[in-house]
Amino acid sequence: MAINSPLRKEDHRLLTGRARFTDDVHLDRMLEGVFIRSPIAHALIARIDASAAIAAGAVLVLTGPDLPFNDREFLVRYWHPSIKNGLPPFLAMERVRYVGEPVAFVVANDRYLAEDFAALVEIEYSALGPVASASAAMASKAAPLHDGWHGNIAAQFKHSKGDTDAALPSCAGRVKRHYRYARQIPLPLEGRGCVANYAADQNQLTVHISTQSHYNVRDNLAKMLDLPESNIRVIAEDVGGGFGSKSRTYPEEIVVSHASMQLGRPIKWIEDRFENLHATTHSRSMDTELEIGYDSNAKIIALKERVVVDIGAYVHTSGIVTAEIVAARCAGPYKIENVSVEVVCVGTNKTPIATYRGAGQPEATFPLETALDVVAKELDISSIEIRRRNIITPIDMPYVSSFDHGSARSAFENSDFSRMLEVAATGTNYDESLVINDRGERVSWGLACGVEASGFVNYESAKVSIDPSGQVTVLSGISSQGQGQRTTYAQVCAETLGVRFEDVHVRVGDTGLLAFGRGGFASRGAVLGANAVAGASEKVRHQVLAVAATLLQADPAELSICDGTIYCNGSDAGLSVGKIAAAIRPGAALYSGAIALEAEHIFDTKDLLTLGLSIHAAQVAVDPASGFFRVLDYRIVHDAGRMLNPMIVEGQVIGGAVEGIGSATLSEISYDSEAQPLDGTLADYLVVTAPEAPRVQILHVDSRSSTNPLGVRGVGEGGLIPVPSAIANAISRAIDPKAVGHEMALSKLPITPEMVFRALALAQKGDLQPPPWQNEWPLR
Amino acid sequence: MVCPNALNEVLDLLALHADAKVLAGGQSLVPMMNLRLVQPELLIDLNRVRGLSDISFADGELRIGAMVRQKALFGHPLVERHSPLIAAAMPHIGHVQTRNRGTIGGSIAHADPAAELPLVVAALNGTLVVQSKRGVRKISADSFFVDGLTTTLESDELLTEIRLPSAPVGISVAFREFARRHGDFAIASACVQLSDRELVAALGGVGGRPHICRDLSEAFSRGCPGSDRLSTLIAHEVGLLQPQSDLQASAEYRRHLACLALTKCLQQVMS
Repeated sequence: MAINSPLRKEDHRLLTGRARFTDDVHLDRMLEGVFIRSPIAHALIARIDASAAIAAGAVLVLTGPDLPFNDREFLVRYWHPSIKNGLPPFLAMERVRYVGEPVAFVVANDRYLAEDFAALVEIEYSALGPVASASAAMASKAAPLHDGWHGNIAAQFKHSKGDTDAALPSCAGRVKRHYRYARQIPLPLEGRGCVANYAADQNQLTVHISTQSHYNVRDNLAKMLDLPESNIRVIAEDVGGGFGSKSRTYPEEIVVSHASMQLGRPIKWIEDRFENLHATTHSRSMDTELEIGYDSNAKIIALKERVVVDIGAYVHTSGIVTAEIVAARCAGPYKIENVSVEVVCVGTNKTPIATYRGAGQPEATFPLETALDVVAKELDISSIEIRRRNIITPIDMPYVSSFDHGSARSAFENSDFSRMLEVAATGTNYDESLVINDRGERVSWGLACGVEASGFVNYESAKVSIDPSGQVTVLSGISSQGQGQRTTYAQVCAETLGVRFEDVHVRVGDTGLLAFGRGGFASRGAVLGANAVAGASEKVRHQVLAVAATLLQADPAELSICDGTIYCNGSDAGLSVGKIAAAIRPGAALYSGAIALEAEHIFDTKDLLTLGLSIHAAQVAVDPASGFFRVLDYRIVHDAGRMLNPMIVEGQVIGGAVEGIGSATLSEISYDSEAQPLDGTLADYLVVTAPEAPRVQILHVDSRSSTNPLGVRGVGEGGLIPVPSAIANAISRAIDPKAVGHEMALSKLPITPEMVFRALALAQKGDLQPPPWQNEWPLR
Repeated sequence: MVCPNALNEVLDLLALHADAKVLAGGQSLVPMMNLRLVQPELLIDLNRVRGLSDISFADGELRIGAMVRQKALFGHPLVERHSPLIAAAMPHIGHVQTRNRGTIGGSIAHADPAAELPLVVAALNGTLVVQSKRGVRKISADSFFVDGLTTTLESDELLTEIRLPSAPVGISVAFREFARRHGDFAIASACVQLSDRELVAALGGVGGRPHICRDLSEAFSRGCPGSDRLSTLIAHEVGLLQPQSDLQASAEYRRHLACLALTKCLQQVMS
């Protein structure tokens, strides 16, 4: 397939304001609703009185007991056997467990009125002691948040290979560190929201929704609302970002749909930013204790990790997937014979966590890659060298990675990580020396590797059809939050089928298109979605050639399709795909029972993930007087396999890297000791913006993946995964290129200027105190 | 919401409605209303009121109408000539989008302790012209800023003009701030103006209102201090601060940054 980057098909409508996001949907007789959310972290609901709101004109006020489906549990898509209980209710019943938990739904003629009426609903809470941290949750006195959460442990598991406990004591050197990845928010530009429209005459529910996972929403709606799947259409037409926060069905979507059925009118609910910060799933929120044992040749002999995940107040329908992935990826791209990892998921009175771009992979990478630099310094070798001596090489492949998660297996295949390391060492400006620049800043580089697993959550669907005008329609079970599938899928179809890119039209994000699909999450759009399109296109190509062979009295092997025209032995046969589509129609000459020239395909990964590596090198400048720092230069060596569209790949990788800089240096949602969130707006919860973004340069290394026919590797998350470690390693080196210990002050994300200032002081004094947060480590 | 065209209409409305709020650029008020933290009984839109958006120079004073957009201050020749300290602060204020709407009067009346314009106006001890049905008051900045988000403006009064003494010829100015991101409110900020007659300096973000470094000015009035003495003076001023710890910085680190910002400003104006 020719590598090129046509302009994105979706951009014209997005850039000219023609996109239709959920809040752009305006329906006749539409009402609007607002959720009343718990203002306290942990309480019993003593009383709810909505009479004043109803008297003032509220059309409907729903509370937990009003819902007829409370005995039904969410359809979960991904689950771990060790999870004990903890799925969220639709509206809080007798107890609230986090600030932001939905308690009631108020419907009115418009949003302003709904908010006015919501203020009239009297809710009396009787406060319970909140659990504000994992260590508080596990303290002996804390009462469990849910039945079965003994010690407030919602789930826990262990993996091991080799014998870590036996291997560690005999290692020539050992490094032990604690790391903390702050609680962060996926934060799409567009919050959640839906417009539910129930038509009683047809028993038909149509839901316009901002989701990544429209089929999962459909299936949950069918279960709760007693509707056949075929009577529900879920449309995610344009979605303004998801980053993992919309990869699941939320209670609100069920409640709004139920209210529409009850009232027989369309109802719109649009989440505001305040709700988005507290009521949409958070992520990260992990503490890791890591110990590495190594020999005198810098070979890593053993890796032992204990991970505590503060999962918040409930387990959402994606289970504890980030905790599982953190364990699966804990050894990174390295050959380590003895690995053990223990993961404990602890409940607190905070917003539930779920996935966020990288989904456990950044959390796994930060401790490992930062500790590797400590080992390198201890051994007085370069950061490149420590990785060179341990990385999985082509001779080792296929190399089955340490641990699986769920049914997903993974193996490193067909890649050349050693060459990527050499490209990073010699093809970028990476340099481990310390330079003092003319501003007096200390300037150096840091490096980190990161593994990205793509093609997660098996099966994706596609259908390709050709109409008599020669126009090709691709339907896909995927959804889009801006990744450009309408372009890449058109490219894949055009190339596979032999038609012009301009003649291919892609539709996604609508359960009405295909009976089965999944959606846009987990870097599955290329590996799963595009390969499904390729499979369907290939089937249609065969159909076209078979009909053409009949019409031309030729052997199909002599025929080819180019730009929609049939060629026979290289010369124009005077036949187009459109004419063939016309020729097989019912009543036409070659009708043989098919409705149209079309084919469907499901791509099945057989549950094998596609792994890819990226190596990030960051140059930072640290002001020794203030601790403020800047990212000056950023280079990425990246393997996307075959790039369907290099411009889109670069957009994904650069966007991921910039988001990673925010994750590494800015973003944290904080809670006080009463489990009250302290960030109420985007003035408090800091995200990366354009002025903080350095120019990011990418060096592509193309190793075709053997896991799928197109040879692609997913690229949605790899841009983010190594960033925090690359930056932490650069800052640590800029403070002192040789010493170790001061970097302990940098072992919590996000790294703030104040933390860097403390690390500078530690390096100067040589007086090393573990950072204060380390005392909060909850495991004995 | 009402949209009067004339100042006296605004003053009539303010006299009638104690719970009214005036809308200038809306960069603070609108987010607070969106969160329903502020629910005024009446919103008076100042955007059509004539005569509040002029920048002029008269009687040795730079006069800036309260509705002058921050964007209009940026690079304005009269501002650059007569109040170079304001000009030095401008690049630190928000972003293009917020400066397009945000006004000088709005920023000063809102009195965020970490905002740049209140800091500079306090440092220069500008005069705030305030009008009501009861008449005109001219309040010195020193007695205008009380605490975070608190001024001596009465509920029936409108800030209409900011007057700043013309900067002497040959002065040098400096403005430094530390913020997590460009355009964010400062963790700590400092501004300094040095002429052959006097030094004025102030620190922002480190207390409820801008801290005027009076002892430092006093010392300069007796001659330029040597570097050791200067360090002592800076430490003394920073020691007077009572900063708070918040999500962005601890009180101790804030004090350190204030010290650095002031030191850098002084180094810049004295070099």
